[in-house]
Amino acid sequence: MKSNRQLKIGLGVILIICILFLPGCWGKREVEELAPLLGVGIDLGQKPGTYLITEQIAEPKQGGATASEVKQWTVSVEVSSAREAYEMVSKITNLIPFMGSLKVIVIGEDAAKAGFNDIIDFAQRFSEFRRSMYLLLAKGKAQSLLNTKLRSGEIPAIFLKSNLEKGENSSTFPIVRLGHYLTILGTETTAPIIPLAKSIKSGDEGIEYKADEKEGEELQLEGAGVLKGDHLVDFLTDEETKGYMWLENDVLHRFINTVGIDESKVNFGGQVLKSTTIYKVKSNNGTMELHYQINASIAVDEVMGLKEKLSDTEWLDLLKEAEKRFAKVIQKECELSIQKEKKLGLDFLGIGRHIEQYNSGYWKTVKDQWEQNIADFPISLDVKVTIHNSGMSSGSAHD
Amino acid sequence: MERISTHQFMTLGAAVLMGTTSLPVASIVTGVGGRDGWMSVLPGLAVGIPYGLMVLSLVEQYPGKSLLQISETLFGKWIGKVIGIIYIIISGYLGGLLLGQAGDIYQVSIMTLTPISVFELGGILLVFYLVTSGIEVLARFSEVLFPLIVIALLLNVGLSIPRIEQGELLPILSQGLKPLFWAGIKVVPFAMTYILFLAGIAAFLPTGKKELGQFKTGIWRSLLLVGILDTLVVLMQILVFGPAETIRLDTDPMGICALEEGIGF
Repeated sequence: MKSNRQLKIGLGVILIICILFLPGCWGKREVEELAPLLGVGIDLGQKPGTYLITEQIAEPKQGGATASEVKQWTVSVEVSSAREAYEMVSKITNLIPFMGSLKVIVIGEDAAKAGFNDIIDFAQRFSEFRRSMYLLLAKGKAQSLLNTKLRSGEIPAIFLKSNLEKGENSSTFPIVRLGHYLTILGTETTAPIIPLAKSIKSGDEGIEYKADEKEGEELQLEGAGVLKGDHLVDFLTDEETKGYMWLENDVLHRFINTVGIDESKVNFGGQVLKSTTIYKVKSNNGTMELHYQINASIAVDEVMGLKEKLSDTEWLDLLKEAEKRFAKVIQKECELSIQKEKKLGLDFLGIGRHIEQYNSGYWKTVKDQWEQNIADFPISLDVKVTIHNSGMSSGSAHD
Repeated sequence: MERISTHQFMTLGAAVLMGTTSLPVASIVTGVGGRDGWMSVLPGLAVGIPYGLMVLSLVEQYPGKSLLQISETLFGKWIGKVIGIIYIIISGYLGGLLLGQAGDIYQVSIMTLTPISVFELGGILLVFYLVTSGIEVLARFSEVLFPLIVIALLLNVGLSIPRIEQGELLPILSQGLKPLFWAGIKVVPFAMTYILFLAGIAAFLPTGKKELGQFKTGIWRSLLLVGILDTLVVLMQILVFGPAETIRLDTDPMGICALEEGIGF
């Protein structure tokens, strides 16, 4: 009886100890003590082997309730490792830098050309970071990009994150998360691609604004950089990037127009409602080729240059014409992208992976010399566009 | 003597098997079988079925006796004791390894500044409590906890769907069946851990004909259930991370979402 009681007491003590130990509150940090990191910029340092790390940190206002009340604190440090940057930033703030909130890593042009896997190793190894954070290339220095004073007053890192997240509405640039970049690196044959961000002043890129009204600049996401491993090799133009988006089956919605595609006086503008790209590896007269089939459904919401009144049949014919011309635009963008792939000899379109996926036997015979084979590998393309609707009117205002 | 029901037998076995396999299985089978590695999990675990039936046959022939007692009866006092010592060493080593792994993953991915000894001490105390409470409490504990683990695992798999990378499972069987065979071989030791556990609880199993029949079903059900769950875990890790990253990453299935979406915060 006595030993039974002792056993029960012993078990009770064990349970109390379990309760005390299992929740494990060691190392807890109060939210007020944290300095949430929003964006990190990576540039080359002045000393060889060093990096200039720019950290953009949120400083929530005491009592501030909305996101607009969040202030930012941006600092750049020249360091040899990411942990050293953490240490240096810790020395000049009374808060604890917190990495779990990091949304965007911006890699400066020079750092990207030199290779950056070593410096982002911390981001994929330390458990506070998330693989869902976005990667961006900066035209020029990442430091300048993150220090841009935006006319809207937004924090650059937050602006870049939100701009990337709404990217699928226009589908003009790829959205690359750290996890995706690492997965692509793991394929060994596919060249990673990272979207490009740059700051623009009034008058740049056909964008104008009243500069003296409110000091500041705008940030633009356009184009992308192609990498060999972690080294930036070249940039894709806006059109080449759009071609990549079609070929990668990454277009959700797109704004598209036919201006300049040929000599026609009537032009169309529209929005892609749905797009699907199918890949096929097939033998064409004994030669293997990759065939892309792009099917897009477009809503025409702009007709320009239409001077005459059209009957219903003529209107339908015009829309058939629009289908062909939209297809031409898509075809041109894709061809530009394919040409760039062949010129660079870097498989950023992942053609090698498509071949491996659909004809692994053939892939085994070409994979060892794949980079040399890219330029000559036959690629065919078929674009089919369907006009879903022509908006809320069938004629033009001139009718 | 305390006895456990057939349902408890199944969940207890499945919980043990799940605990030993779910952490390292993706990295191990993908390392050997590549992107087809997920196919080797079920066959690898199925190897445990005949061994499990063998243990049940011993239970039937030597009712109420533990593995050590059966060994002594069959091989004599000394050989029986040597087998017993080997059994205790292997079980202790495996238990320690699991405890270490769990503590390590918890510390590396969730509470980085908490000393690892806290997780390990907590785990050891829990194990001691369950051991002193007897097989019935242990079985009831697993009956309550195992479904929760399964739900958490399925949620992780489901919530990771938006992060799936295109075409990571293709091509299927491009390297033939050989890598699958070797990957399956790597899974077999996990099934053997289950057998080790089964031998340990042999003395607590009812020995009626009806119950033994149900235990036989319980063995393949445990292995099938865990096999399917582990296959899902491996599949999802390959789909989200790709084979190269699955091999490289030291993460548990619960860590997929944390890594991708910051649920760990």
